[in-house]
Amino acid sequence: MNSQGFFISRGRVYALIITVSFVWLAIVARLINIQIVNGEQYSTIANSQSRGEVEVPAQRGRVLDAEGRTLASNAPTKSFFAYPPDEAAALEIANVVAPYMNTSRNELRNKLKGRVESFTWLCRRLDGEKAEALEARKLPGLFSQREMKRNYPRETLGRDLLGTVDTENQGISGLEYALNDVLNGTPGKTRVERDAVGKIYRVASKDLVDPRNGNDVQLTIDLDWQAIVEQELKNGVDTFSAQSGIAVFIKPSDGAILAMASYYPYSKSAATQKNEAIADVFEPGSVFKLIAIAAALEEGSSKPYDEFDCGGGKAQFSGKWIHDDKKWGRLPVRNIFTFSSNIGTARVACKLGNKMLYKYAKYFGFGMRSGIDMPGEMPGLMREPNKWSDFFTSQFAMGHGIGVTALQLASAFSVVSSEGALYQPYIIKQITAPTGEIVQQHAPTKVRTLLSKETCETLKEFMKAVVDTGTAKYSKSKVVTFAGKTGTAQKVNLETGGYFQNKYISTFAGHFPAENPIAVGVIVLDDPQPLHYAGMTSARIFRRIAERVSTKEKLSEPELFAAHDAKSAPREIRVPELEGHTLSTVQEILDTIALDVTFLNSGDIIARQVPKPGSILMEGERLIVQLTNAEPDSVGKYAELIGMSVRSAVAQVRVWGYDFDVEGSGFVKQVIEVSPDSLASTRSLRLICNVD
Amino acid sequence: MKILTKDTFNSGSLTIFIAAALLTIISVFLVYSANHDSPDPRLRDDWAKQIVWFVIGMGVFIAMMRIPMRIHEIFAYVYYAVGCALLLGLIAFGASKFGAQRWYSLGFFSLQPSELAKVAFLFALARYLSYSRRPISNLRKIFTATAMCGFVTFLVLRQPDLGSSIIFTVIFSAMMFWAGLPARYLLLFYTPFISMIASSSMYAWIIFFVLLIVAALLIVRKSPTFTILLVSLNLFVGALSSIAWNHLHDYQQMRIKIFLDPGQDPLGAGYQIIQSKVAIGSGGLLGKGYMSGSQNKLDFLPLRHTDFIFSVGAEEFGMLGAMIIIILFGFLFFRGLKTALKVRSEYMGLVTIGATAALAFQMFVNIGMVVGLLPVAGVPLPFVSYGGSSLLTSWILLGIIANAERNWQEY
Repeated sequence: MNSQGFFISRGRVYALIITVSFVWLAIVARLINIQIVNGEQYSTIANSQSRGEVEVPAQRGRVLDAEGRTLASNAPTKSFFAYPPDEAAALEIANVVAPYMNTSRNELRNKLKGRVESFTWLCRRLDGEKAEALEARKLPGLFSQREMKRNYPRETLGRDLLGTVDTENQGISGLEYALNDVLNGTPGKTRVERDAVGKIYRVASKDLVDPRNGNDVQLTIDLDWQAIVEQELKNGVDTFSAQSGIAVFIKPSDGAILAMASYYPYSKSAATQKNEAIADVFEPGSVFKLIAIAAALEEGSSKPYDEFDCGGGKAQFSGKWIHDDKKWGRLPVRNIFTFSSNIGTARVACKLGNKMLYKYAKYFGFGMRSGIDMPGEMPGLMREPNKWSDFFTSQFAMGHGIGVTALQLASAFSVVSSEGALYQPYIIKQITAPTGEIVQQHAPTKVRTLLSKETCETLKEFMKAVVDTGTAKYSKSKVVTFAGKTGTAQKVNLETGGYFQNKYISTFAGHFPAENPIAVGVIVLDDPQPLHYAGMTSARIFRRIAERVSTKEKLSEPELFAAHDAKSAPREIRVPELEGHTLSTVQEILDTIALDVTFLNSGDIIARQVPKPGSILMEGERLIVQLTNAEPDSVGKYAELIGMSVRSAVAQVRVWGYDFDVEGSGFVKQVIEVSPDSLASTRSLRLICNVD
Repeated sequence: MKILTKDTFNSGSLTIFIAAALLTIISVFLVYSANHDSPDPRLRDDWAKQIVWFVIGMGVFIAMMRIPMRIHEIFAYVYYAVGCALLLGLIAFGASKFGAQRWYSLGFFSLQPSELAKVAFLFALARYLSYSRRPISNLRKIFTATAMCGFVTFLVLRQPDLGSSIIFTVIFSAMMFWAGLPARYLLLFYTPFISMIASSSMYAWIIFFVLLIVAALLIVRKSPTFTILLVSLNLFVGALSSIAWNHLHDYQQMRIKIFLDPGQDPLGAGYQIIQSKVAIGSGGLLGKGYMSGSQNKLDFLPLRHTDFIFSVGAEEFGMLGAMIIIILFGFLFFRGLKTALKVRSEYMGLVTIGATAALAFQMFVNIGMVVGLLPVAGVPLPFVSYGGSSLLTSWILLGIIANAERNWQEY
């Protein structure tokens, strides 16, 4: 050892060497224990932590329209999650990401507070540009993962029909639900390594099982038709203040659905995911008269020009009265149909016989499901009664006491346009595997042929007459010929089991063009107000659709999205307030307005107008003005006088320019319209007053 | 004076330089593997920064080797005063991170004064022990030396930095031992801590006392008074800590329990140890290959470029790689001890043994931690863990050893 400086005992040096060596050897022993003795075990733990098999999701198939245009496809999206390394990073993530999540920065800050070095989902399925913008920020602790999102490039177009998918891309409504198994592929499998956060770090270069993408489904729906039908139905429901509307258009030659839509201006319960065109059952009313007439002609029990006695507006069947709107005398079958005479139809049906009538109704497809390849179809209501009476037969012929769907009506009417054949309606045109192989292709299914060609030609002529001169004459088009049948049925009151006095289901079913139909359509309006006649409401919607479809060979893409203000659309005109005014005061307005003003009835007081004041009409569209002299039920019109003091009421009546007389004093209790003297130009009101 | 000349190194200093340089080169490769593709972009260039620190570290090493030890001897107390001032200054100006004040933020570099204070304390204690004419067994000398250590240790402990403060007491113990402090004092210093830990289990405590009495009979057989003092102190501390245990907060008890059984907290501190053991264990004999360690790459391993860098090496290069690292360290310690024995100046000997002890202790604590022998203490592995402060201090300490090796003949 060192002799000059200081002395350290040999024992101390040994003690140090032994201590250091002992610790050093302890570490070596520990390494041997961990790496050699228990190495296998730790490897197993390491593998179980990081290795796994994951599903490789299959892409959901696309949904295409008849022309191959995309209705539903998939878009790659990114889902973001946070794994902030420290508080500062968490704060920055919260500040940057909050706007993408539609949440406040504060809220997100609180959410990420204390989530340092832990996993938090931020936003799922953020699409293209947004995701790129967020990724470009390169925030520490912000990570993303690729996920596919169902994409509907045409947004709301046809969405009621298509339905929707949940966050796991499984269909939960509409065709997405019905065709879920067809559209879903089979997921594959691959080996991956995951990191401590569970994020996939490395994916094996080859999949264990390749995913099989879902099949593409091509529908019979034509996007151009669908867009027009949706727009015009919405327009019509709004214009006529209906509760809702349904529209179906099918191709008569094979039963392909061209367009199918429903519209609720008010809230539609989110729970109802039904497809109204096949699921809503309603009483059809006069539109059903086609069945009785067709059956009578086909069976030869009546000829087109056989005349029947329409009883001057009322007639008894089995002791019960049936009424017509107008006091017809004798009418030929053709006119019974075009003017929709209840009594005439009843007589034709009774002559045909109830069994035959019922048989034909079944032949036309009523009372049973059409078998369309969509879920949720209702069979409607039609039962053969235990005992037929003439009254029952006549009710049946008039479309009362049975329930139908819009699709059943369209299908039945298409028989006329397809030379007497009934085809099973369908919406799936073709299913194609991702390989391009056609899995399924629809072949038109003819259910039966029930009418002769001659009967069909006759009926087509009848139906055209309905539009030309009959109940739908106010909706006649200068652009396109169309034909059909109107039906205005009192709405069933589900609570009482009776009928609403002032609520109607207005239906128009028909085809266009009249001579060589390319499409059969049904428009159903639920409770249009105040005008409920199908000939002026549903038929008008049908006309608009027929016009737009026939004048445009192929609509360009942007027009599919544009509302009714497409470039070719005429100027919009706001409908003035006319109701309650005398004709002379508004004559000037009506003369200059760029609308096709049609007067109904006669008189000089404007009782009603369609559409209502403030509605928007296109230049040249029809404004219907109903005139009156006096109406028995006009009390409602003067309702505003009720409760007024005599002085105020008189002042108001003077403003209107009416004659009046007053009974009693105090406040107005009742207003009676006194039929005017035929020579006098003004009407007279009697105000009955009372002190209390 | 030219710093680099033909005789910059003698053979001894050159070998320790090469051993430490190999460790630092290994460090650069391991830091690259750990961080170059980190999800946190701020960490991706750490390997390059480590190269920069390596270059600076070598410069500091050569400077330490060439600056005459006499200068450090003269300024030893000044260093100590500056070191303590910097530690005191932390209270006012230090940057806070994870609730602890350990750094001065100098923009490009976080200065950790406890690292500088280590070196300063080394010089100051060596000067006091070698200059004081009193014998080492003199109580006043022992007390003064203990106070020098105690003050600086307290300042570090209050940051709080338990890991660093323990290093001061280790440097102190090693130098006192080297200076000839009777073993009974060391027993008196350290057995109460062991008693404290052992008291958690009655069996362990009984075994501890059996060993203590045997040691006391062997070492201090001439003084029964001292033996009684030693045993009663240990009894007192052990009993007190049992009582204190019951007054600890749940989380404090939890920390100690987790140290004893990491499996109790698989997601907290225990998680780090479990993951570290999984990484090392799954490395096996030959490792998974460079940059192929799943536990490293897949983010399972915590703090893998700093405290757990050894686990990265052991996973990717297996037992073989781990042995290379600890053999290089073993070689450094062997050289340090040999130099301490060789030098003629007592001052140099003390400084050398202190520097060696500091490096050895850090290595043992760090590797002991990652293999699950010791609690998680936050002590970096000298030369290998990423970080400028740690790397510079390691090279300074090594520079001191190399200086002594080169100038062993000086008095």
